Formats: sequence, C-alpha cells, structure tokens
Amino acid sequence: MHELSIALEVIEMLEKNNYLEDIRIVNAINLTIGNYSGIDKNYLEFAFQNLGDDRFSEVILNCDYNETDDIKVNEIIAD
Amino acid sequence: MEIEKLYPEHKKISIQKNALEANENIAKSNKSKFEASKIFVVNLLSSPGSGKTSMIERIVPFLKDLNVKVCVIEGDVETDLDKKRIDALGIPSYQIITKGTCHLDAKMIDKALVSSNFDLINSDILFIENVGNLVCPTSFNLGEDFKIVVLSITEGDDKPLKYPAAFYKSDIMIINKIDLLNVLDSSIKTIKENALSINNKLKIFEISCKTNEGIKELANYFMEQIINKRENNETK
Repeated sequence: MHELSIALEVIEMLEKNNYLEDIRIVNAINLTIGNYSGIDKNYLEFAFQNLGDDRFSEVILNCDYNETDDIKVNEIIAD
Repeated sequence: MEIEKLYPEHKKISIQKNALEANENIAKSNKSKFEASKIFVVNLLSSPGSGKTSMIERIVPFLKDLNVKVCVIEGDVETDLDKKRIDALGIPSYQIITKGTCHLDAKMIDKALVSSNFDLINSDILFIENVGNLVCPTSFNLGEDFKIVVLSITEGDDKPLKYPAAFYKSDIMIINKIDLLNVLDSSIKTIKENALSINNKLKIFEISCKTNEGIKELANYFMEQIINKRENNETK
C-alpha cells in the first residue's frame, strides 16, 4: 500500500512536469532511494506494474541507495 | 547501466526530482497557513495501540491549565472512535477516515483544514494523529513543525531498529506505558540506545497515560515550543 502511494505520487510528479507528454510506455525508471525512506524496490516495481496505468505496466526500476530518506527520480527511459 | 543496454534506442529523459514533489508542494502550502496563524503543529506517528490518542487525552487538561488552545486532526483507516474521545475533552477535532490508505498525506490535511473550520489564528497547537503505522506515514510531510514518534514499552525495545525511518525522521520520541516496566522485560535504556543509534538528535520523554507520569513535563515542553514559534514568527 505504501509503495502504491509512492508510485502514484511519482506519476503525478511526472505528469505535472509534462515528462509524460507523447510517451507511450515507460520502460525503466532510475531512482535514488534512501535507506530511511521505508521503500522496498521490488514492492515499488510491483506497484507501478499493477496500478492500472498501461504506460507503466512493464516498467523496470533501477535503484541507487544512500543513507538518507530521499526518494528521487533521476531519469526515465521511455518510448 | 544494465537498463541502458536493455533499451539502447529508447528516449532517455533526465528528471532529477523528488518523487514526492506533489505532496511536498501541498505540505509547504499547509506550513504557510500554519506559520501565518502562528500555530504549532505536531505530526504524531506510532504503531496502532501505542497510546497516541491517550497521550492527547491526558495532556489536554495540562495544556488547558496553561491557557493553551488545542485542536486535533484524527487519522484512521475506519471509524470516528478517536474523534469521539477527543470531542469529550471539549476541544475542536476533525476525523479523516482514509478507507484503507495507510497514512495521511498533505492533501488530506489541506482538505481537513478547509472542512473543519478550525480557528487556527486563535489556536496554539494542532495535533495531527497519523494512521497507526510506523512505515508509511514517515514518507509524507504534512507541513508540521515536529514529527513525534510514540513508542510503548509493550512493543519491545528493538522497535527503533526494526522501523528506523520513523525514528530517523522524528524530532521527539515519547516512550509510553512506563507504568508497565515492572511487569515487562523491556528496557528503557535499550530503547533509548537503539533510537539514538538511528537519530542522535531525538529528544526523549517518558510518560504513562495510566498514572500521568511525565505528562506535565511534556505539556510544559509543548508550551515552550509554542512560545518559541510565536517569538520566531514575530522576529521574521
């Protein structure tokens, strides 16, 4: 449930900043996840793939970790 | 690197943004409202049953004695049982029922501030009691001044190590149910050591909502913070 909320927040952020204009599918997201963020990469990936948004149904997450509470989106790879 | 190899011909878009930007923006707007009203705002985090509502019930009479005006936003997955407990104290309260969502977010608080009609300008402190959960609420800022994590000794002294994010992000830890120390194996010393190993800036209070031990000290601390906030706002 937590990761589902985070996935929805990420999509909202991408949409508000117009990063998803003309994007058919997001293949991958490069993220930085803090060890104190409480986020599990596998659950987050599952959330993206299953939240009902076809653009993210096959997305793969690639995560760097650090000793913060950050959840930062660095880059998306898309078609 | 692996992903780039997998998708060499695809479009790469640099983002470099906080994933929770939308929530952060609303939290900043909430904070501006709180600053304008000079109200001190606390976001209470804990596991279910650690005593967040009981702590509010116990501290409100002490705060009333100090002429502190309190209001409360309650967050629960279901029911307004906690709001009813707060209403019995004769102070303004508002219940957010999340219907399954495991945390409060800034948007929910924004809506609650509109719907509740709280008189923020004439209030001194707002307690936001988050959904009982030590994981999810830690990610979502609400615009609060302090995050406070409440831990009851019945939860075990290893809780800070098992749920580090809540302790890492909090300003204060309240150890509750200390009246049970003599019947449990939990050690306050170990709880403190474990919590401080995650966040060495944590200010720690020990309380019992059963005996009221430590509640007056906590009320006095909140009073200090209310005064500090008012003075800081006036010098801005």
